[in-house]
Amino acid sequence: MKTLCSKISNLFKNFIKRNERYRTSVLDDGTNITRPFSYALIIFAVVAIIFVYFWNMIVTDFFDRFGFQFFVSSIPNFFTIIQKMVVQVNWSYFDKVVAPLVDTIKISIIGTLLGAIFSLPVAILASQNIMGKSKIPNIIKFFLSIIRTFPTLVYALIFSFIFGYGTFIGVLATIIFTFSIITKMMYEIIETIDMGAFIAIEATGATKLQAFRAAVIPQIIGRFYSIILYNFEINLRASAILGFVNAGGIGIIMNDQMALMKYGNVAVIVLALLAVVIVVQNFSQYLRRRLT
Amino acid sequence: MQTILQKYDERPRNGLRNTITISVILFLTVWSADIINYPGLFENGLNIARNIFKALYNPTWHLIFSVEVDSIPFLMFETLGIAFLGTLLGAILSIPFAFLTAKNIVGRFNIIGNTIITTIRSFPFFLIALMFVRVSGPGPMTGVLTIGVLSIGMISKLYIEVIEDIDPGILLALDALGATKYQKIRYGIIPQLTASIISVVIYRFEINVKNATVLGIVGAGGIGVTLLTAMNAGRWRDAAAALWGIIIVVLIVDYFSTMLRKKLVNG
Repeated sequence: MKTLCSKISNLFKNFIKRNERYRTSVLDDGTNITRPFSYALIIFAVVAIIFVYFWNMIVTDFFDRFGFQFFVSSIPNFFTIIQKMVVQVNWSYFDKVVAPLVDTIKISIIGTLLGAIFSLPVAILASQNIMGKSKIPNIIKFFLSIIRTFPTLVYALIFSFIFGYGTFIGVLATIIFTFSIITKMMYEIIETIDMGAFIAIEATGATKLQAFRAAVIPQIIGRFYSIILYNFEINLRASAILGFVNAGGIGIIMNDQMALMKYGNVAVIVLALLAVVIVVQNFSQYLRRRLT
Repeated sequence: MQTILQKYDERPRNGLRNTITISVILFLTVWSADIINYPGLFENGLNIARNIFKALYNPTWHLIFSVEVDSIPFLMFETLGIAFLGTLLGAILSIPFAFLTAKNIVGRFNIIGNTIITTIRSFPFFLIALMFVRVSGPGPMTGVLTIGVLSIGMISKLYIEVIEDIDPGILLALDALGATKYQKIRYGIIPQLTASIISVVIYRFEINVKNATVLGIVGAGGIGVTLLTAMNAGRWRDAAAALWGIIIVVLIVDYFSTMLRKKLVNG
């Protein structure tokens, strides 16, 4: 395998070298100028091949099965739904939206806070500069990268088979997702902080814990709050759809009303959710600007 | 010693700020704590949890190592395809949005474009998928359309930043050299844009792969369908195979995306 790789890369290097004289031009005063080799064409070709492969697999296959005509004739369906949302908007449904919407907000608040609390100690254990030469950080980072591969919804789906249904599942899924992502962001920050202060304080005879409290915490705490706020935004959007796997919140009524084709009610749900998301987003961006 | 103690007394104190922060956090925690109403385990919940864990050690191997239709590699390729085509569609659809919202092109009229982009960004994406299911039926095509529309929000927002950052000095310099309009675009604008645009699109692709894994739950193709049906039928080993598929593919995509973006940033 290794020899094959090196052979291919040698072939490539030779190609670039032999290609050189086509890229060289001579100026009036006799100096040679060589343009750097452009990978654009090769990259473009690779992307084009991947594109054709996926296009055949999904789009051509779709047209073979249903026909192009069907697709074109059903595109207006999409706009009909939007039109119905606008025309039939049913404001009286708002009373029924409030409770699930508050549930969604609560799920993301408690999930973000608990996830953040669990993540701080693990982030410290995962930072190479604090832990010295120990192997623990690498092991933790490996597990974190596996936990991070699943979206919140997959966790909620798995928990829904263990705990049935309810907001508890949503909270649990949000905690796990938040924990994995905040830990990653925090150890990346901790690994870039200035360790000089830590060493200096240790030299005065302070214990590791005291040095950590005095030298490391002040450097990271602002960023930590900022990350929590950012994750709260992400979690709010993610927990809006948790209801699709019975994990509580506004997703449940969204799914129901969509299945009943009551687009007027869906419009109210979406507008309420949009309002909350936009308010939270702007408020959190304002706070984050103040923090950093 | 005297000076040290004096300096220590002058240390920055943000007692009030900390008190406010902590009391706000405490209030929010107490207010939302009632949402954790533990419902108790499902009937056989503990058994199911044990089975899922066991299945993760021993997934359905022949599903992982075959390349037939509905095997895990096939479905993961389909998921990747949804994300790939969707991202491309989003990248193309974002261009008009971005140009109609960039401040240095439309001035103060950018509020319309901004509203549309913010709406798309915070629209729950399962709803878009459910709307497109009415257009192209359940299947990966719906996933492509959903991911395409969904990506507009973030991609065009980042396009706008890039467009607003174009350095006009380079265009002036090319003007002074007597460059034609084509040359100005080719050597003045495109080189400024490509690296950041490609890195944005790669980043969005990474996010879209994760989104595409769950789109199957509302019938928009990809591995989510298999995951959901396998779990509903209690075939935990098949579900575990799907989970491993997600883990492996997302890790690979993560790795390459980070590597490529690092290369693009460093030039």
